[in-house]
Amino acid sequence: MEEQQKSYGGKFLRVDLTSGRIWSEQLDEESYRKHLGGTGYGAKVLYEEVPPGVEWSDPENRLIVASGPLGGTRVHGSGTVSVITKGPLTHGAAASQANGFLGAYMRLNGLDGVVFQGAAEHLQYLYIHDGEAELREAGHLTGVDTWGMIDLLAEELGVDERQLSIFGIGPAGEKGVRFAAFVGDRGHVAGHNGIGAVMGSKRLKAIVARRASGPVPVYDREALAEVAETLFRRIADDPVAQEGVYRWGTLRGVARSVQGGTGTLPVKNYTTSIYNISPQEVETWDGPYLQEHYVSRRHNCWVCRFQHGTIFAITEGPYKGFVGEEPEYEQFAAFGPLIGNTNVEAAIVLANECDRLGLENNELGWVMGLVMECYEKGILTQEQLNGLDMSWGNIEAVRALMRKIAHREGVGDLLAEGVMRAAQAIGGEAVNFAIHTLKGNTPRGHDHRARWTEMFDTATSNTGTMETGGMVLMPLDALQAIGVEGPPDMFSGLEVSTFNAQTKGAMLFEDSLGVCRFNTRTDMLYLPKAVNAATGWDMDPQEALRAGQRAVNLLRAFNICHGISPELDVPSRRYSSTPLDGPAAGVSIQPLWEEMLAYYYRLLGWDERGVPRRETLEALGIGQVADDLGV
Amino acid sequence: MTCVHLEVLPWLSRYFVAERSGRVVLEREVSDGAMVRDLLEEIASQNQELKEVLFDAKTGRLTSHISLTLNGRFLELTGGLEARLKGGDTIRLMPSIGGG
Repeated sequence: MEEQQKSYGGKFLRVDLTSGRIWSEQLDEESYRKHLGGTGYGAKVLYEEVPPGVEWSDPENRLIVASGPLGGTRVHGSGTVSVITKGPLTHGAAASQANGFLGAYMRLNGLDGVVFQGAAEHLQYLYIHDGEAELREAGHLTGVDTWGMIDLLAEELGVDERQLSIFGIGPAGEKGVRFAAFVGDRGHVAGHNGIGAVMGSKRLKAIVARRASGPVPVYDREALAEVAETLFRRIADDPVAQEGVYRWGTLRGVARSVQGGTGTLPVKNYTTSIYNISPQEVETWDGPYLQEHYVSRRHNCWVCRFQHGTIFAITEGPYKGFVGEEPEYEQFAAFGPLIGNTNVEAAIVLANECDRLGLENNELGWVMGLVMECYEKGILTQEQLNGLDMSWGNIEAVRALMRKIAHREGVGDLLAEGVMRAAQAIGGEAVNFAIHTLKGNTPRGHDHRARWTEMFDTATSNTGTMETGGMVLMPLDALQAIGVEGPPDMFSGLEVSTFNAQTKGAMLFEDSLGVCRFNTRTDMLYLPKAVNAATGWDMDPQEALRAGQRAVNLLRAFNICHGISPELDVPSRRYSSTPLDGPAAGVSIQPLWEEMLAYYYRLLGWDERGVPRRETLEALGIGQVADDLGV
Repeated sequence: MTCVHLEVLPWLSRYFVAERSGRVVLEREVSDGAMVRDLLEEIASQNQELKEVLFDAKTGRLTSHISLTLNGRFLELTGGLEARLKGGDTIRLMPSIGGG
């Protein structure tokens, strides 16, 4: 039998926005297997090419947009990209993912990703098509929102929108809002740690990839199709998963949290854990009602069979005429309980406006929560807020303030700095109300005081958002494949820190492949098999986990070299406060934090200061980093 | 014997009431001094699929697919599976919610 040729991709485009030069580089197979694509590759580039002293807005910062070895294949949801840079909220690494089509279309054009450096003089966009790439002027897109950008670019290029993947920034990114996002394909966002602001600083408005004929490099198509089907069936045939994201996306999150009394909804800036909403109103936030009343058409991502990712339309009432994407749970949380709103249609509209302006919805929600609590308690006045009445639940005021933030107008300029910096500028009690980590980023849209795995992850992460992930929902046999017996007691400090340390690396491995977490569920049993079918390798779950841990340690080292002390692995006072009500009332993580950290560092092979030890780095094949860290 | 309330949220309720996936509240008789584990094992013994959803066959621990409260507080904070039940207690059984 003729030996099949190994085929792994690994070609990355390099774009210098200062000079306009575009070239490509091919990663050798050994490096590619070690770092993969997505976050793994991004961590390598960031560490090697952005030295200490280079700030987030410095042209020498890098912006990496990358798919990986499974991108554009038959693995469901493999249009995902990971975006990596040095971000403005933490002044450290940022790594965030967006679904849609961009990853698949780049791979169909023969590319695993793009690395941007430098800064253009005028606003530009990158157009990838027919296996080539060019920079084009984008001055006419100045101030255009992320949906209008797609309309104008598709028209200008004379290409059916369905043949294009378009991601870029809205006004918020152009204005350098610290939590500006990278938004595209009408409803997908890589938002954490101000990726959009970095893009704005480079005067890069958008990345456009036109669908090409490929082929995407795959070693054994038949084997990959089989693993892809297995990955899918493990969701579609699983009674748990099929009633979850497969059937509903994240649409049921708010309603289920209320009905279950889970205490995990972020209500009014953590001032309570109880969302004051009637049973009739709750029904309108639930999947069946939302799908029946608002879905106008399917809007699936690349090779995705999930029953979510739709376009919503509102046909009557005050928001009649609205058309936008189906909100995700975190958007509902931000524009529902967090701001004291119970009107689901208002939340749908605000979520879409946030995306259009190019803002990251979680940070925006926490900013609004902070402002509303300060307003309620007399710390901020209507006059200071440019005449806005920021009472809980005032939708129109939230909408107006959101626009001010995106354009850095009036008080919006201060709030565009994000929760931590805005609270410090407001001063006084405001700093005690602010929900963030001491690095400067904010949590996802939950009340983590009832979810310690996530709070511990968010506060210790090196990515500006979660880094370990919600591994409690990983398939149990996949958890066991990486040596973890099962989920922890969610209120045991040591079990939580042990669990997070033991699963560390799984999420960043997945984020290095170009796949969607909803579809692949960090399945450490089958994802390595998929990689092997795509590349011809013989990776096992342990090697896969090590690849993710390599990325974790590189990002950790990057942050330490860039001045982020491990002493900042701590949640703010309010973030880690004791819930006053709800199912976790009276329980606090704070007294356990120090011990949890010590245990976690030890399990990860880091010293008592949280710095990776030389032997840890050498075991991961990145021993040279030890010299930089002086360990 | 003593009577407790078992409240089951969608979609887990389909294991208890045919053709229905809404919220259900059931009255359950348990023996005096019974633990939460006893109640869950008893309901799991009546349905193999539910048993797999509730318990990890390898470790005997609850899976991460479900979340439980006892009288409105997380079970982990009220004694876990070994918590003793008393008359009128409400045990709420619900699916875990994914995400950050």
